[in-house]
Amino acid sequence: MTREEETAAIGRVLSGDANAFEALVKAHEKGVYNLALRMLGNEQDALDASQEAFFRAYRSLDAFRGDSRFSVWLYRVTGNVCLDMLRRAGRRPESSLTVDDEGGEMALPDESGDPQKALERSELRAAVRRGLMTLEPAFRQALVLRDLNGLTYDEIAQITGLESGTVKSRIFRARRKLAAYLQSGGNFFDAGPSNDRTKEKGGGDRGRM
Amino acid sequence: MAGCERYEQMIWALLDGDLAPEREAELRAHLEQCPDCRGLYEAAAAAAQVLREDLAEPPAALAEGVMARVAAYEAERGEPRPVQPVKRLRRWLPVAAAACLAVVIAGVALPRLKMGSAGSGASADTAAPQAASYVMDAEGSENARSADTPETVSLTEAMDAVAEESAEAKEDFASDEDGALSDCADAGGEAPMESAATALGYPVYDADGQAVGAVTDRERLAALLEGGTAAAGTPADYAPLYTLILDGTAYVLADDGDGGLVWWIEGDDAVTLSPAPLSELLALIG
Repeated sequence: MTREEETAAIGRVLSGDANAFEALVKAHEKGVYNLALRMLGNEQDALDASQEAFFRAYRSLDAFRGDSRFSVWLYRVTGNVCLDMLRRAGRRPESSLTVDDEGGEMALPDESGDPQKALERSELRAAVRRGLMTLEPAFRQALVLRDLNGLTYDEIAQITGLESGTVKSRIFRARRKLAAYLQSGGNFFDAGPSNDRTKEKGGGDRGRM
Repeated sequence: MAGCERYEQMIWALLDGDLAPEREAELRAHLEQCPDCRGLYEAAAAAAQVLREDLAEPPAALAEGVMARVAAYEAERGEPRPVQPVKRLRRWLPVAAAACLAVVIAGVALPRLKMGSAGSGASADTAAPQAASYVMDAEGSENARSADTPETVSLTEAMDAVAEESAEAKEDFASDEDGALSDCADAGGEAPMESAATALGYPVYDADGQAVGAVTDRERLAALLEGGTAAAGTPADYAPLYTLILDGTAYVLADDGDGGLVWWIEGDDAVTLSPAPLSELLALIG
């Protein structure tokens, strides 16, 4: 969907054609869903959050001013939905949000044809998923918006209401923490002072940033 | 990694694709010699690659669920965006919507009708359906009335609905909560919004498309039109005098040729003869 098509679809929705919203959902569902999946850590919550985000976007579409990319605006709504869900889950004694430990949902075909490499990739993906969940949600959000959704620091600053420099330092800290998690908990990277080769089930460092 | 802070900054810049080539060469030389920095870089690069490339396909249920919620939401809001078909005038369209139509009709329909009345009956016959379809398009309805499905509506019933919800309607008009005015702006183009904003009541336009006033006494208006009987012929047989906008529908009023009042809904074929003379209606227009 080109930007012109996107603008036209938004105009049709605003003038009463509710069905025109579906094209906007289809154009952005991958970015929104994967953002939610990385924020929340499991498919069911990601699906719920994505639907809630798109629905909120529909209801407040007239608030979209077009001074940012539509995707950026959607990611802001998505991020707010996810942070709300995480806050609500955090207030309960037993978190209702679970992290999928299986690599299956993200299984990509392994191009190398090497079973050992495929296993390593699968383990790496699972470790990244767990490692992300050890980050504070706001740091996780910034990192995912940057590396998954490909937003600029300025766009992330718009979304989070932070200074661009603050966004940058958050993302660096998140990257450092995630890298340290992979080094300490996995057997992927041969460097690092605390690299023992026994990997805890459920993944090493549960500490918070 | 003591002393390696500057290389760490370079690692982040490299991951952002934002490191100058000569700095990158310097960094890579350092990574060759420093296992700590190399480990950090490889882990961070692997994580970034997984985030970038390891994307899940959204389930089909996502879009389906969103559109189902959207549909339920619109149904619950009482179909505010698409206009009610004429046959079901149960809900009051906000005054804004009526005013919106008034602007459209004043700008488009009435000049055509005037042509029709000044000229032959045949041209009026073609002008009316055109005007009607334009009106319905302006409201985005898929249920545009056509001239081959004549349908008369009870004016009294419609006005009862107006009375029930008029206060609410005025609020809607003021707050533009359901976007009716935005729709109007889209549909009406350069049509002046002032005329919409002052059109509270049932606005009346003459054949030149000029606003001549509004009827506010709905009981007397109902009494004038209630109990009408089918008049002979079709709208093409009468010269339109006034158009009254009520509940988003344009009612065309005409002289039956003998001082009597006939009316029809814009675009319909059926003409109704009022029991009251035309002069009584004219007295109501304030």
